[in-house]
Amino acid sequence: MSTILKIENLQAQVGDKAILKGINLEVKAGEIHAIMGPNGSGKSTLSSVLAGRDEYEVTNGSATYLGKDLFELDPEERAWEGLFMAFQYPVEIPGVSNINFLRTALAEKANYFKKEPLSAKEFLQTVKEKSALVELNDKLKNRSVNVGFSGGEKKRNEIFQMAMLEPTLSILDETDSGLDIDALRIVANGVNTLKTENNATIVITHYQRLLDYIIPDFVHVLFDGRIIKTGGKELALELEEKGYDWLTKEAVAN
Amino acid sequence: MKYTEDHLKVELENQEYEYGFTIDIESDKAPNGINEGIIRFISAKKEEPQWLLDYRLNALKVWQSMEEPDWAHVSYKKPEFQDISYYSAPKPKKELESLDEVDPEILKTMERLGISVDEQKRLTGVAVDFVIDSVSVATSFKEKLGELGIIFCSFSEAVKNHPELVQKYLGTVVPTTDNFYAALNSAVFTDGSFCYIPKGTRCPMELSTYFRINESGTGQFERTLLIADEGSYVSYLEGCTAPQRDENQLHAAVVELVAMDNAEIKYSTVQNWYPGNKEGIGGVYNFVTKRGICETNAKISWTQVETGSAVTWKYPSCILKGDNSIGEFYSVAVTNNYQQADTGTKMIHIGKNTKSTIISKGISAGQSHNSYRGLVKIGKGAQNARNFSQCDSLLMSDRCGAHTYPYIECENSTAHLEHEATTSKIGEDQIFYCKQRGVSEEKAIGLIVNGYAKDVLNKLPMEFAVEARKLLEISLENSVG
Amino acid sequence: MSTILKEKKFDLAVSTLNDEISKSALAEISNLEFPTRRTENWRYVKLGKLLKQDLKTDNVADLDISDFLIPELNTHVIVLVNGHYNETLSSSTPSAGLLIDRLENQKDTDLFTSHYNTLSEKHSEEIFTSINTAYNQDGVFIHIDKNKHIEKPIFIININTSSNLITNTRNLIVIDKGAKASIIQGYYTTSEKGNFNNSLTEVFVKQNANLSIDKIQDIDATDKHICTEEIHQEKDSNFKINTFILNGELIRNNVNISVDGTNCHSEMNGLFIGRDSQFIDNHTRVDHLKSHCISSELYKGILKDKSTGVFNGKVIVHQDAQVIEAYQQNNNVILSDSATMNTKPELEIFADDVKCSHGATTGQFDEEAIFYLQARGISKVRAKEMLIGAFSEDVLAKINNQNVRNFIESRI
Repeated sequence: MSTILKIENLQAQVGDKAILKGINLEVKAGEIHAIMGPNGSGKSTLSSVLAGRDEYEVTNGSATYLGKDLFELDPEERAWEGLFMAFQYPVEIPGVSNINFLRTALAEKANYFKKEPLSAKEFLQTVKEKSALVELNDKLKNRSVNVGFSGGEKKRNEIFQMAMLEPTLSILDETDSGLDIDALRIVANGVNTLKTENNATIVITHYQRLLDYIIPDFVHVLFDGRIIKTGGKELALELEEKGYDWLTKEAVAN
Repeated sequence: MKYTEDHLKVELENQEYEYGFTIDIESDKAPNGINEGIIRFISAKKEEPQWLLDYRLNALKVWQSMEEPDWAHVSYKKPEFQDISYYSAPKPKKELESLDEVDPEILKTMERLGISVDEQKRLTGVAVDFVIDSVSVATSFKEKLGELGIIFCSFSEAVKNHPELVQKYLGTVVPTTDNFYAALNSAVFTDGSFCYIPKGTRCPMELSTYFRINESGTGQFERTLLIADEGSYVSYLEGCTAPQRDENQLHAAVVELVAMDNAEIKYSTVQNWYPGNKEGIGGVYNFVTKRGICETNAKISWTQVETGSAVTWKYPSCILKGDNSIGEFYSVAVTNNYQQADTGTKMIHIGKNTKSTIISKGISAGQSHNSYRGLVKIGKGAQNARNFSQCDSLLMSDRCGAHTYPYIECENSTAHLEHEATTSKIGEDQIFYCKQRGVSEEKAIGLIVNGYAKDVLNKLPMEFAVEARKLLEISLENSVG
Repeated sequence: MSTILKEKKFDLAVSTLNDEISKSALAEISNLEFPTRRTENWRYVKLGKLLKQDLKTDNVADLDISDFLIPELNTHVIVLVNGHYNETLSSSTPSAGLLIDRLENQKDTDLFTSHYNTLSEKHSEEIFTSINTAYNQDGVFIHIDKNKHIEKPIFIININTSSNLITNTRNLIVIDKGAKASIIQGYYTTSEKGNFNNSLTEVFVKQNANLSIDKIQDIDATDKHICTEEIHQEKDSNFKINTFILNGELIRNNVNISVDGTNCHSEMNGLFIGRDSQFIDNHTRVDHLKSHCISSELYKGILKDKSTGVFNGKVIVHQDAQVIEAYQQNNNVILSDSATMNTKPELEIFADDVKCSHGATTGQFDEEAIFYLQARGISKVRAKEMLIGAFSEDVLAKINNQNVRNFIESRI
């Protein structure tokens, strides 16, 4: 299996505050990785650094994505190369319809690969198929991006966009937060359906709940900017039962 | 390597004003200056009746007694009124029967402006009047409109062929004494568009005027008079461009709208006069008085997209005189580099159950200043008047300014007035979200700005909306920073 | 001799606080004109009657002030009668770090010279400001020393006991680094008529200091008051002013705040109730000069009879002031066809990283709500009172001290 993402000794800070203190992680095609950890452990920072948010400064280490230096790429280049991040708080863009937004995104990606963009007909056909996947209401497709969407609708919209963009590596940043059980099931079903042998998913979450539906191959525990333990899916269940304390105490002791 | 905002900035600064070319048409130009002799020259040149000459001479006197206003949030070198030529007509001067007779240079100009006359004629059925340096050069679709009794012609023609209508309405909405520039216009206006929609008639096509200042050292002083008789409807569009020049050109127009009982006028403007270069040299001074009066159950709706001009001073207004009348104002004003715009509206509620809506979206970039100035006045007798105003400003640079000056005056206890305003920076999180989905920064800004202005752009007729969207993107391309 | 403003005939003693400043203010006055309705900043104000009125000065020694005290509230009390500091009536308990004195007594101190007129000189083009600077006859000096928290509120009671008086009260307040205080300013009239107060207070809120002012204007229905507060805030400071206008023929308030430090918080609130032919004008101006500050403003007005209200709020965010949040809200209710409300909330923004908003509404009480209350057996008059109470609630809630709040509510 080929390597999609390889992170080595990644360190990053916001202002003067070091948040990531040396992360190592390798994600191969066909894998699902879960990153868990208590609040403030650096989970959201990791996803932001990978997606290229510029408040975060990488101070050391590297991330190689499909053989390229990830940090040399602009956020939109990362997107064109197939990196997708589902936002914890999807952003509202008033006046810009969901459809127009996606069409622009797809056209820019096609342009990057010097390909013809989808015709209007093909595009609408794809929209129809993919939106069924997350049971997204037709009305929402024509509404402004995320404006007036409920929490659950926003998260489903993220997965719908993921389906449209067909990423190689998806990072789901706390996608389960604020979801009721039905929405959670729909979102997870979308993610599972999109899974192939050639792509990979990183699920960032605080709770084990989402992992009942999206079964991870690996579970990593992030604490104080480092991965302090890696295990199989059973580690998530153990965390559910015992909490994080037994691990973090151990980490502090070390 | 990495394409940054700085690259974009350099690239766009080098991009010249797209519409900046001059047409080589020999002008029939008046000597510079303004005095009684010049007024008599213009009037004689246009073979005008005595009453119009008297009207002009009176306006000159009024103008000479007035002072140039300085209350707007704009600063500029005041025009030298004696250095302007007040009359400049492109040749040929003879009456044009059809578009085929139009100077091919002018037709070429229209095409370069993105308006193919033929195309418009065929596809959209828009009747177009072209006004270059204040002289109307071509009006299309005249016969078809004539069958319905609709008069759509140049102002000069209207003076010749329909003097009774012109004399009855000229100056009734914007009196000569209204303000400094209205007085100046009343004295020296050379041409413009005239339109009359008869009772109960729905004008079947968009009426459109394209204005262009061409000759250097001239001002443009056009006059538009639009009368919608009882129960009629018309949608009117105007577009403006000017060539690139180092000097400041003066444009002081007056637009008067009369909506009689149950009539509706929709007036849309896409203003793209030359804004000056990136150092703020040159550009048009756009000092315009636009006002409409609504009789019972009438409605006037102003929509404007303002991207051009070095200095804009413009407040399209509605006098809601008749009961149940409605006034609307939808505006997008973009300023970049050193542009200054002070624009807004006045909604004067006089009749009962009158309603007005104001939506203004300002976008400032570069070192520009963009002000909204508006008045909502509810008179004593305006029972149950309603107003909703929303004025938003979007800031794209740390050296630009966005200002809001709304006046809300209410003298009636049954009125409901609501005013909201916000000023904020273009959202960095929105730009990042777009980028994460693979939309480049430049495109993202275009999307976000168009989304922000959508409520206004949606009010434009289709064929204008596309042009307006493009204009917004062009005007702002080098602006985030 | 007597004072007629319009003719610039001032039968008033020139201020002796600082001869040079007085002199330049006099020169300023001779060059200035009284504002007319064409003066943008005084657009709706009818000054004619005031300018033509024959005004005089007066002094009085003894007075019963018990009517003006706030029940159950223990305060330092400063009393000015007809514009004169009255030491007999004033009673302030000595308290470490607190200095209360007649302004005149402090005029040779460094504290005085380094602060006096430094704020109002920027607005010397306002003729009433210059008149106060030239002719102020008395006033209060308050200094709170570094890091001192003065728990007991300081109550400045201004009372007019005579007719056709002109008073130019001048106050100077310095809240030093890390200090904290609250001040109540009350303006009252006994039974006399036709007075004109032209008061000016300069306020300095130093680094990390905290000051709140509650201002109560309850003068006679024939009295006029032009009241100016000039405030200067240093970094990390908090300032709040609540204005309650309960009576007076013509009231014009100018609150000008220069936010000249980072991380400041500034708040202005106001409630006014116009009756008869009252004219009530609130002008506020906030200059954000430094980054990372928040200002907010809430003014509410109720206009009855033939009264006129004006709200003009101006927020200016200067070029280098980034990350500013500024909020303005003005809501008005018009209860009579002869009442008028003029609102002008202005924003002037020269920076880009800002979040500013203003909202203004003018309307009337919901007839449905009144009917609903009537249907539950509440009289129409009482129903309206209840709605006025509800409408006023969010401004009253800005008062920190419950006793002060009760006092104001009882006077509405």
